[in-house]
Amino acid sequence: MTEYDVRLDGVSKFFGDVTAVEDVSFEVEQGKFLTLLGPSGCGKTTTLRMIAGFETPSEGDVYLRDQRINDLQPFERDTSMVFQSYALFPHMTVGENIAFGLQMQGIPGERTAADGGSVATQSSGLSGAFKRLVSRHGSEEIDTRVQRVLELVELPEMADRQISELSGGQQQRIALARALVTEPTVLLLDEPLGALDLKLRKNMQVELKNLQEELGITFVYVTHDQEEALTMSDEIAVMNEGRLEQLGTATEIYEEPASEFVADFIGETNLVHGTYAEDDDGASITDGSLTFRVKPHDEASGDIAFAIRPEKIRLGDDARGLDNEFSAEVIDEIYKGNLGKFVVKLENGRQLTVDLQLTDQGDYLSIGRDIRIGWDASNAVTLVR
Amino acid sequence: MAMNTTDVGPGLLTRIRRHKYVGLVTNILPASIWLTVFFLAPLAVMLYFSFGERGAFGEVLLGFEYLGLQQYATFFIPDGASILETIWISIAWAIGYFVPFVSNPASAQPTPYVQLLFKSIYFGTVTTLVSLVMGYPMAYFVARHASQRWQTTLIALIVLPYWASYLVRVYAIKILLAKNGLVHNLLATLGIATDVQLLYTDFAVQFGLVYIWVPFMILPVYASLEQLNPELNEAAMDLGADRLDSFRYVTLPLSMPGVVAGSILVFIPSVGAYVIPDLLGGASTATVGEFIAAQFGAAGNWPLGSAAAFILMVIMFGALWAYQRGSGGADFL
Repeated sequence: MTEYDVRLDGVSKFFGDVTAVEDVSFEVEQGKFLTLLGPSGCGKTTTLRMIAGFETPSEGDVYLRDQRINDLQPFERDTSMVFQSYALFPHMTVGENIAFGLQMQGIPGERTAADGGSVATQSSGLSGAFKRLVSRHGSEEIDTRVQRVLELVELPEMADRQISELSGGQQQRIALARALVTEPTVLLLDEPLGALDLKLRKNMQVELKNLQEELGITFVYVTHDQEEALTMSDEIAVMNEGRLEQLGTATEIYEEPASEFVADFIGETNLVHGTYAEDDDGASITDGSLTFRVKPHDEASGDIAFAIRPEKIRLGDDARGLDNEFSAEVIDEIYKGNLGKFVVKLENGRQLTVDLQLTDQGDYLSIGRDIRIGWDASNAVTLVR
Repeated sequence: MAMNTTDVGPGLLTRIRRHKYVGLVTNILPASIWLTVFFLAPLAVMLYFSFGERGAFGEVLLGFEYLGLQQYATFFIPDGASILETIWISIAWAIGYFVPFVSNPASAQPTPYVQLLFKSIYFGTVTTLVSLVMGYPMAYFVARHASQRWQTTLIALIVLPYWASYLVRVYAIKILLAKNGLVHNLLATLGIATDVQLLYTDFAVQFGLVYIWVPFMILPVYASLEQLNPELNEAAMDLGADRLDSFRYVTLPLSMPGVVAGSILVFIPSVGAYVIPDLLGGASTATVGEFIAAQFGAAGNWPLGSAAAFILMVIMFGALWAYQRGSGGADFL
C-alpha cells in the first residue's frame, strides 16, 4: 500500500463571501514533489497555508500521514515552510536563525545563547536582563546540526553572518536550511524562487530538485511559473479560481490537459471551438465551414473545443495524408532563433500558431504565402470543459 | 509632449543650492544661524550665569570676583559636609526613598534640591514604566489586530487629545480628580472609598504625567510593530514556537527600537515637568522643574536656577547615554 504524507479531502476555504479554495482533494505520496500551479489568486497559497496551519479549512479535512491535523496549531505540526519573503529573523545571525527551530523543539542543551552564550549571560543591568529574556539555549547537538544543514545548502562558512549581509540567493538557501534542519515530514515552499533573477532561478530549480531526491522529503511547492513546475515536479496540481483543475505528471498535464484552462495555461496551444459530432470513423468538431477530426470523448457533446499544440502541426509535404489537412495563408511570423513561430489563417478565418524548427526551409514561409498544414487527430485533445 | 527648446537647465536658485560650497552655505546657514541665536547663545548665557552670584536685590553678579562653583555646591552639598559625605548621604537617602521597607541608612539629609532631583527622576521613571506597560499592549493591538481602517481611526483617537491645549487637558484632570469631582464621587457612590484625597498628591502628578505622555510611547512602539513582517511570526510558529515564544523571541526584540525611542520621549519631558506637578501636585510634590521655574520667577535667584537647569541637563544626557548603550546599538544619539 502506498503511504501518503499529505492528504486533502474535500477542503474548502471561505473568507467572508469570497471562496478562496473550493472542494480540493489530493494526496501526496511519501518522498514526492508535488507542485500547486496556477495564476495568482487561484487559491494555491491558501491551500499551502492550510497544510502549514496558518489557515483553518472551512470545510473538509487535512491529513498529515494518518493524522487529521485540521485543529493543530502551526507549531504542533510536523511541517516546515519556506516563505516567499524568506521571513528570516533580521535580529539573529544565520546560525541563530537555523538553530531557532531546534531550540523551540526542545533539543536539549544548557541555557545559553546559540552563539556560545557568554555574551548574554555576562552582560549585566538592563541590557543583560533583556538579553537573558530573549536568549535561547545552545548545545553541541544544535551546533552540529546547524553546521550540517549549512553544508547541505553549500554555505558552510556563513553561521556568524548577519542576515543583512547576505545576497538574495544566499538568503534563499538559509531560509531553506532553516526549514530543513528540523527534519520535517513535509516541506512547504511558497514561491521560494520568485525573488531571484532568471539565471539563479534556473540553477536553484535543479538544486532544489536534487536536494529533494537526495533527502527523500515530501515537497509541496507553490508557483505560478509553469516552466518551473514542469522542470521540478513529480506531480502537478493545476488550480484555477479555487478549484483543482487537474492532477497529474508533467507529461500528463502537457499532453492530456483535462480542461481548456489547463491546455491554455500550460505551454502554448491553439484552442478551436465548434460543434462536436460522432460518426463511423470517430469524431469531429465543426467550426464554420471547416470540420476537424478529433479523438472521440465519452462526455463530449454540443459546443466544445479541442486543443492542438503549435509544435504538433505539420507543414507543406509533411502535412499530406494526415487526418486533418487544410490550406492556409501565412499572416505573421515571429523569429525566435532556433524556432520559427508562424500565425496562419484557415479558410474559415480561424488563426492557428505553428512552430517550425528553422533549418533551411525559411524562405517558403514568408508572409502572404499559401501553404498546406495538417495534424493527426491523435495529436489533438478533445476538451469537454 | 513638445520639446522645450528654451530649456536651459535648472534655474539660478537651484544651481546655487546645488553648488558644492555655495550650496553648503545656503542650505545649512539659515538653520545654523537660527540654532545659534536662539538655542546655543542663550544656553551659553545660562552656563555663564550659573557661575555667578545673586545680588541682594535679585540681580545677577557676574564680575570676575563673583565667578565660581558656589551655586553647584549649594545645590549638592549640605552644610558642613565633605564631598564624600555628600555622595553617601545622597545615595543613602535615595535608597531610603525608593527601596520599599528600607529606611534611610544615613542620619543626615541631602540638600532639598537633591531630594527634588531624585523625586523628579523617580516621577520620570515611573511615568516611563507605566506608559510602557499601558502603551505597549495598546500599540500591539492597533498594529497587529485592528483592521487597516480601524488602525487609522485608533491612531487618530490616540492623537486626538493633542488637538486641545496642554493646559486645558491638565485642568481637565484637575476637575476630574478634585474633591466632589467625578472620580471622587464615583468612588464614594460605589462604596470603595469615601473622602479620599486625590488632587494635590503624588498620585495626581503621576496620573497627569502618564495621561499626557503615554501617546509618545504608543506611537513609536506602534511604528516599530507595524513595519514588522507578520510572516516572521508565522515562521517562528512554523518552527515550533508557540504564541508566547513567538512574541518573546521575535516580536519583542524587533520592537525594541520603538520601546527605546518611546522611553526617551516620555522620560525627558516627565523628569523636567513643570506645569503638571505645579497644577496637580501639592506642596510636598515639588519637582526640580518647578524649582527651576521658581528661581527664575518668585525666588529671583537666576544663578541657582541656571545651575539646577544645567545639572538636570547633564544628568539627562548621562541617563540617555547609559540607556542607549544598555539597549544595545539602537542609535538615537
